[in-house]
Amino acid sequence: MAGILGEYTELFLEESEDQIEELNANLLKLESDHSNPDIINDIFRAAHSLKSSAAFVGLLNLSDLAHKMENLLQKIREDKLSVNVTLVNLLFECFDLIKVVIDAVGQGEKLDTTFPEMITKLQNYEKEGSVAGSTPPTKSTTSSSSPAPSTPVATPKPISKPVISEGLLHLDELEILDLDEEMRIRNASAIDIKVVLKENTQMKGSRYALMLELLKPSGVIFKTQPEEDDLLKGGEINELLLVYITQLDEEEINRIVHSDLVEEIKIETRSVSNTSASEFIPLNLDQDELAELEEEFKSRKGNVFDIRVVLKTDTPMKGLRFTLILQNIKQNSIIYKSNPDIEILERGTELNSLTFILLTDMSIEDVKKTISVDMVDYLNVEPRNLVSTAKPLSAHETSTPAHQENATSAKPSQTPSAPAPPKKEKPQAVAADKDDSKLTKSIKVSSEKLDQLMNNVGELVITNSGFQKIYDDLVRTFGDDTTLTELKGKIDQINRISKDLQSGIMNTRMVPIGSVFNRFSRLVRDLSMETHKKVQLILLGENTELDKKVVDMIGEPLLHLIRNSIDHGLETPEERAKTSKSDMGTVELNAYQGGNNIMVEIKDDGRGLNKGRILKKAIENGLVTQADAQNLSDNDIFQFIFAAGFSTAAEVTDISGRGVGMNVVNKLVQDFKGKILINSVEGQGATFTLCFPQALAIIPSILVSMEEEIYAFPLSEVFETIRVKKEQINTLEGHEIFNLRGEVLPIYRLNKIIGLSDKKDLEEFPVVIVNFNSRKLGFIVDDMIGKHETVIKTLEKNFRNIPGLTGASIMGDGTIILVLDIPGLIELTNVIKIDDTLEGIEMLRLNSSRSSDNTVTEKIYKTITSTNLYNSRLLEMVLSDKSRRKKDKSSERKKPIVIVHEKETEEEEIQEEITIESSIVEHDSSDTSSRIETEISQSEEPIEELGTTTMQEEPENSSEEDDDGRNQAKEMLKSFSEQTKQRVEAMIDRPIDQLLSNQEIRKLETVVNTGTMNAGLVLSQLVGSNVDLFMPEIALTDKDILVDLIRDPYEHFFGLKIRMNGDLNGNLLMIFSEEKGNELSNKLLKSNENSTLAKKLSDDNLSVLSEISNIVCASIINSLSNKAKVQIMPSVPELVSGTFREVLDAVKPEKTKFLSMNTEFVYDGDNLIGNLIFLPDFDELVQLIAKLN
Amino acid sequence: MQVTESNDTSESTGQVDEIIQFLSFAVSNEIFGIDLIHVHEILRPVFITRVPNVEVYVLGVTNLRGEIIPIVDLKKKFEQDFTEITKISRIIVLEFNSKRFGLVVEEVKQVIKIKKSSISFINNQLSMDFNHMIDNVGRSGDLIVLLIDLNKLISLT
Repeated sequence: MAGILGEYTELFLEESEDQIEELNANLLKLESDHSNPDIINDIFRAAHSLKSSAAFVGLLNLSDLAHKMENLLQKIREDKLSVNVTLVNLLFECFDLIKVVIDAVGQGEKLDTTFPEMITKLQNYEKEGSVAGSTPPTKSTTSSSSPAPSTPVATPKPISKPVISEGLLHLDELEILDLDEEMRIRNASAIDIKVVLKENTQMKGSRYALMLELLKPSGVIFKTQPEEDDLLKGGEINELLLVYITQLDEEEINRIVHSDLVEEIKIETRSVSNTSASEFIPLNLDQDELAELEEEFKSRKGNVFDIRVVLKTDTPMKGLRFTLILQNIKQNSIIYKSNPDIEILERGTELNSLTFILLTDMSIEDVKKTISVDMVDYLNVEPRNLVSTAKPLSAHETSTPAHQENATSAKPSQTPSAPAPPKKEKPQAVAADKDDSKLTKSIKVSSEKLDQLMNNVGELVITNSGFQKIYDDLVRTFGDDTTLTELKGKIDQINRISKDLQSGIMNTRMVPIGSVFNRFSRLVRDLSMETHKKVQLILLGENTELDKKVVDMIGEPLLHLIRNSIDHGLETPEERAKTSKSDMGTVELNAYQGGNNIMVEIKDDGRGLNKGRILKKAIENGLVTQADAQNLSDNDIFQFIFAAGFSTAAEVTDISGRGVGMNVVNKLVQDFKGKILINSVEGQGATFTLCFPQALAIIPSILVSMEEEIYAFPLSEVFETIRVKKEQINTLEGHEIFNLRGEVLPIYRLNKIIGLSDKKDLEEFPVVIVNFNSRKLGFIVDDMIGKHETVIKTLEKNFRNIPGLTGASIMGDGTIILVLDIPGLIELTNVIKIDDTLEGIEMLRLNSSRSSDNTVTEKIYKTITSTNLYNSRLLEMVLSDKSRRKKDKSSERKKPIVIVHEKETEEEEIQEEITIESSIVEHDSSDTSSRIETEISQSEEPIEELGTTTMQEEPENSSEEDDDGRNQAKEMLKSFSEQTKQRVEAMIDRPIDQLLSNQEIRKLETVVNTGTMNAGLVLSQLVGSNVDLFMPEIALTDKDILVDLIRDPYEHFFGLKIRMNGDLNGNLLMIFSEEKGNELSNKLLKSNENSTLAKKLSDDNLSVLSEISNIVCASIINSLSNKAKVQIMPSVPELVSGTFREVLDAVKPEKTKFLSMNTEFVYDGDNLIGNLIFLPDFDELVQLIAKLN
Repeated sequence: MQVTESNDTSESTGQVDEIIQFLSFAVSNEIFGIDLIHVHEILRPVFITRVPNVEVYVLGVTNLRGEIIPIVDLKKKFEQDFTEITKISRIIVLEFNSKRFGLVVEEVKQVIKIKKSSISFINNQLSMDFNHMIDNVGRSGDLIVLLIDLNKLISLT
């Protein structure tokens, strides 16, 4: 993306920012060490680099300024100028101006102003030697100690004026210098051109201007006479003189410029002699290249040379020649970088000079010999000094002189070390070398990409925890299994790897804080001068790494704090002397890791914080009352300084005193969830410690639930969790407090802060105790869930930041939990209008599906909020859908008609029944008793009220009838049929909502479920291994439907019939197909007998089955009677066998509807289904269900 | 040479009439439209996690495949009552200015194409309730659709 200066904007910014920092740091070094040539070179190099990059991106005026600066620096290099405070300040001024432009670019503004004042100042200084009078002694000391340029020391040859021949247009000294520069940069020649247009030519000025335009694409118009701007102003212009820098030759220029109107053209190339003496500027390498080079150098040993080869101007095929030279030298050396590049050379070039860096074992002499081939005009071979110049100083003391004199007298001739052999080892450098670790290769990565990675890893961790949960569920369902254990192993492994991955990625975002620290050397120097105090800055722990965001931010708070320390904290030398302190004050910056936090400390040995004054000011400003002031701890008092507008300064200075700084500091620190700790001893000094949590994306937290909403307290803030009784909470001035082992803490109700209603009448509640600003406080919550690790997602992405919340997090199962922000919560308690009118009602529990126990949709007390109402309604809809779908599932062809609250269907059903009722039904059974039964059942009530038990009891008797009995029975039956007919009529009129409702069936299901579970338990004990019985699906079916389910009408079935007596009368019939029955009983008997073929069941099998039926029915009856608190007694089971129909008839359900429950036996991985027909007296059943609450 | 008769004024003036697609939906018996380009997806109502201390029409947030997005009850936002959740209620997930959020609506109708020329700016006289979010009204055949200006919708969130 192109920036304000085009596509290289980003690059320019990075490089130039670094260079300015370097310049500043180096200049400081230079101040204390005037004559160190290395420092001077570094400064020069940086300035030069800056100049070219500025020119490259089009900041020509900046480039100009840098150039002028360079001249000054050059003079310093030549010992023509001495380093004194004035000069240094001048240069600093210059740097600042440059910084302004760079910052502006950073902000998106192209600031290309000229700097006439600065340039004048620079030029004046250059000319006059010094502004405030130099000190000759210094000059001599430095000059005497600077070594003569000899090869061992890596100083380039001193500059001598480039000898450029005079041309048509006169150029002064400076211009010649510039011209030389330009020529070298572009590797082009300077050509003087004179053009005279014919006398009578119209608009000469414009024509001359046009010529210039034509020339511009192929070169640079260095200077023109008259000036370009003047050309268009009109007036008689006789001739145009210009100096043109180009690679074009004279022929080509002539062609461009010539036209019919041209009277005379003169083109002369300026010759530049003595190029050999011209300054050899070695290739500039950026950070990475330098580092690479050093790596190479270290691994290969040998020497590094900067080499420049200049061929004679008239050499043919220069490109080829250069290529050959390089080839020759490549035999046993490495060419690290060359200008121009090798590709360009191969293509052919007219350039006559080649600069490159060589890494070789050869000595200088050998190198020279290899390269000095025919046609080589000049060769310059300089050893390269591989010093990591770009890095700022590590743990060192920068003493800043308070007075000028000290500067010169303090450092007597610091002779650089005697010719140290530079080739073999790294030459000594004054700048303390950084650890080797700093020179490792680096790669720039956009922080966006890192953020994205962090995000993904966070998701990975969450998904992993999901796996864990699934594993737990599996174990619960299937028990232990080797496969499952393997799974667990893998899950744990993935967990570990993803956690490692996460901390690794986090580390990529960490940068050492040293880069920030080093900026302050300059500040301290300036401040100490301004305040006339002696200050020394000590930097420690620069290698401590922090998340880049924090490092970027922390500059400002540190700035304020340092300012404060120097301005208010440190005393003047006189004052210090009085208190027997050394007259040099110390400001110490330190960074270290403390537990899970990173601490950044600013310590000074000044006068410390004045508690009394702070307190007084606080009371004055109304931050605390006189009375409360008594209870404040030292730390509390110190914390007042962070209040906006707070200052105890008697006067406002330029630097500080307005009371803004500390407030800003506090806010910035809090934004990053950090805190500031203050320690101070009056008279001795003060220490401010900024404490930041290591930016962990995974935050361990304590989960609490508030009415099914889950909130997380970051574990780092939680001190303790306890249960508190109502009596332990007291009220003090409207605020609730409580006593924790002698300590009195304020206690807040979390529900109030988050807008939920109070839970009344609670005796005891859980409380989470947190740390806040070194105080403790408690939050009352509804329920504690436990510890959990969450990856926090910000809410700001799609929404906005909510006060009181740091963000949200997604749990393994997809639920969203909200992560609390303690300071935010506290603020809310002060700000929020607590709504006492919040009320709640019972609403459906959302999480019922997740509870492993009863799946009854319990209700829970919930506050009436829009969300809760919405969720509740949604849940209702979902459940009703679910149950409807479940009902639909139980049949293949005809759906058993189920009672639901759908009025239409019910009406239909009633109609159906009435028609059936009135028709005469043919029987297929030959049994007379069954005929009677049929008659009876014909007149049985329709589905609204299912068969009465009394009726069914009768058939028992009639089946045993003798002739007399038969007559008796006939009588009874007649009366019965009358009765039932009446009842039926009554039934039809019965309103539909008195039918067995969904709810009632639900309740029944639950109870029966308990029964079947119990049965399962008993069976398991009997059999000796796990038998599970699953909840019967209760459906209303009729005989036909059930019969239709059986594929083979002749398949053999048998059933166990058990009668119920007591408060509920009726029958239970357990039907098994022979096949299934055999299977089941064999399984349970663990018999290997393959008796599935036998038609008749063995006695053993039969007894097993009857036992099973017994147990199941008994359990259900038991369950019913327990829950409804009624008495129901089961009878001895009776075995019935035959076809399905026959068996079914044993309980005479006939055409009426009845409750059928499918029971699943799960044993040894097999599911076997038996069918249980439940036929109670339905009136009684309804009553019983009513009792089931 | 053929003379083509056409009712379309745009053709006769030789202009190309841009057709914009809108997703139409119903809230309190009015039909609204949102530029389809902003519609990310349409969901059946999902469970929403309440967020404390937000505006009353923000029902909360929900987990949309790992992303946490806020859900707004559009009817309530129009300063009326809450939307009745029925089988045809839906949540429209919109994406605007790289923010995703959901709107609860009573019923999602269909995608309609409206010619730019059929979109007209309205003043306060129409639908008093929603006018701070509606700038334009579009006509598709006989149907009048109130077009929601997402800028206004978001700024009020």
